Amino acid sequence: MVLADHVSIRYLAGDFSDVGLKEWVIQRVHHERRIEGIWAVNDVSFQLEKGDFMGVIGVNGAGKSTLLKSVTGILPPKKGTIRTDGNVVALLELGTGFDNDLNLRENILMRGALLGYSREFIEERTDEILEFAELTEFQWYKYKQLSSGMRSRLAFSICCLVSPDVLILDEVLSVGDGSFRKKSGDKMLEVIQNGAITLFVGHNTSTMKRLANKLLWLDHGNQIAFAQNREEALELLELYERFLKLRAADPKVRPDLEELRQKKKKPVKKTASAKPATVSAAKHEQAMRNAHNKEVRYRMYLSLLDELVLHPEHVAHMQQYLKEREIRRVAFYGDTAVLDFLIPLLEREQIGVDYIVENTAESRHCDTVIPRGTQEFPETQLIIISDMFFTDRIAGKLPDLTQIPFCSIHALFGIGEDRDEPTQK
Amino acid sequence: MFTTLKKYRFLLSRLVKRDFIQKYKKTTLGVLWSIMSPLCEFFVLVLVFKNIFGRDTPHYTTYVITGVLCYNFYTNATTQGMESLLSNGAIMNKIKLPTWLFPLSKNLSATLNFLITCVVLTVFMLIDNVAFTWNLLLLPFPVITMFFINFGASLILSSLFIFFKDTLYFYHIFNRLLYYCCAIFYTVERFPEAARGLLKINPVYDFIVYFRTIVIDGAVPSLDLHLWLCGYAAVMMLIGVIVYNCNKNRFIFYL
Repeated sequence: MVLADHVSIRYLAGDFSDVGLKEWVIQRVHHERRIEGIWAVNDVSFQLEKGDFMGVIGVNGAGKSTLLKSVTGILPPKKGTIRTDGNVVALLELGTGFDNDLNLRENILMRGALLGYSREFIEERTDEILEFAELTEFQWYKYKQLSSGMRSRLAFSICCLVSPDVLILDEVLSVGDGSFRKKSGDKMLEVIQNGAITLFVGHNTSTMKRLANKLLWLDHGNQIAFAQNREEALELLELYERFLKLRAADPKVRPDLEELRQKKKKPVKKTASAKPATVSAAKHEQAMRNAHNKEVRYRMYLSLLDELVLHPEHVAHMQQYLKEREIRRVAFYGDTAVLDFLIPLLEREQIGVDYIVENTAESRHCDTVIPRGTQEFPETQLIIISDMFFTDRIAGKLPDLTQIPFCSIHALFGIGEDRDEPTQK
Repeated sequence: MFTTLKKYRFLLSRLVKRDFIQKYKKTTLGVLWSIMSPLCEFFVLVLVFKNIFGRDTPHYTTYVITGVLCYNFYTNATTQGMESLLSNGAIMNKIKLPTWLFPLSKNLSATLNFLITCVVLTVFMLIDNVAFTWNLLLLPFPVITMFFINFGASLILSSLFIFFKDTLYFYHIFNRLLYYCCAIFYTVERFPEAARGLLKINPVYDFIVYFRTIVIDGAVPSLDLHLWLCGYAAVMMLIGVIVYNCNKNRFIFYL
């Protein structure tokens, strides 16, 4: 059972994590310590029983990841209580937590040990995990020699095959190439049927439509709705999709269930107030570059993306960009938050998306990221890099690592300077 | 706490194993280095100080090697313990587990390492013609108390290190000072009584004295020394647990 009772979670942000002793003293002396608490999740309650599958929806910054972090117990809530029975296994962010220099078998043992399982338990399942991840022939390879796709398959397989009581998944991580995607979906179903509770964060709603019998909708940390059964969940998903459309027209709209219900039959008006976008986006981009605080930068980055997606000019730039290069399938690299914006757009263009997700938690706060492992996705024609500071700094390094051309969000939407033109090796 | 230990005993054994693998992974001599490095240090000390302090000190080589080994035990355990939380930050960010297991595992591997180096000690006792007595069986006592002193210090240091990276440099300086306060290569007989009393405040010095009393003199150390060591262990553990517990919920924001 998972029980969340009026949970509020405060997240610290501000000038502290890079502060050395000297700065700390100075800040203390001058009373200049800027640490602000952000209520990332505010008064959320839900209850899940065995076999439940709860989808968690909401746009960026809704507090989905924070809430799930709290359910795993990493981030205790400031108010309210979260109770979980049994083993909680979470697959929220990928990449780290494995040891680069150990081989796959040792890494599986290590991960099992970290999750609190006994030696016998893990050893019994190691072969099965390797087989399910289709990595049996690589079992003596070191972890660092694996491609990203292989890494995510490994992480996913461990999570599902240790028969957890509570399984927490981020949609992005449960995918791989086509055949594995199907397999992992089936496996998830099996886990649910075995009585596990699953919490699932997603960016598109198709998996939830198939599996969810509970649904939690968060917005700016607040609970918009909690659907207690399948019918309610399906209805809520529909409302959510409608809300996303509304939001595409006006980014400031907040979800109001009653209003959304009434809008049921009416066609959605397309009244995007197209301001001169390029100027404001470019300005915005400049401001973001100048922001010194990572947290601030990240928030600005998100609102910049909002701006890009909502302005026809930029969207047209993207369409043309992809058309000119005859791109039908892209891979996406970087912070998962950006997927919220990109997936609907790309789906409209009928462009397939692969994920090369690596260490999303850190890419959020680091300046450069290097993609690799694109051999996993043979059909990918372009890699879209969504890291906020993908610029010239890394451009020189990239072509050595991948044969596939890449571009940044900036180039795709035509903002900033021309430095991010795709490079073809 | 004991149930947690029981549940995670497999993790502890993996972590200790990983420490050993990582430490020596790209070296040709491998684990031999854990013997080699204190040995080299020891040779330098004997070479330099044998003629200054060695003349009127019986069994000077054994005297120095016990000092070197015991001091290294303390610094290795605490320095590695200090870094253990931060270096496992990626894991702490993803998986819920009792994080004190990381400093504990580092301390376990440091203790294991110390026991390995004790082989050298035995060899030198043979060379140096030191008498082996039944009192040697008392040696587990100081090792256990020292383990808790180290673990307590590791808890304090690792918590601090998460918030202030400066801790590392301060601690290096502190260790250097400590090195000269441990009577590793000199003898304390020529010191005035007051100075000797000051040295006793240093738990590492007490640990070394305990070792020397048994190994070189073949005598049973005084009851005082036993109590001091127990007291240090209790105090260090107490402070360590308090510091760790007060801060453990804030670690995640700093990783």
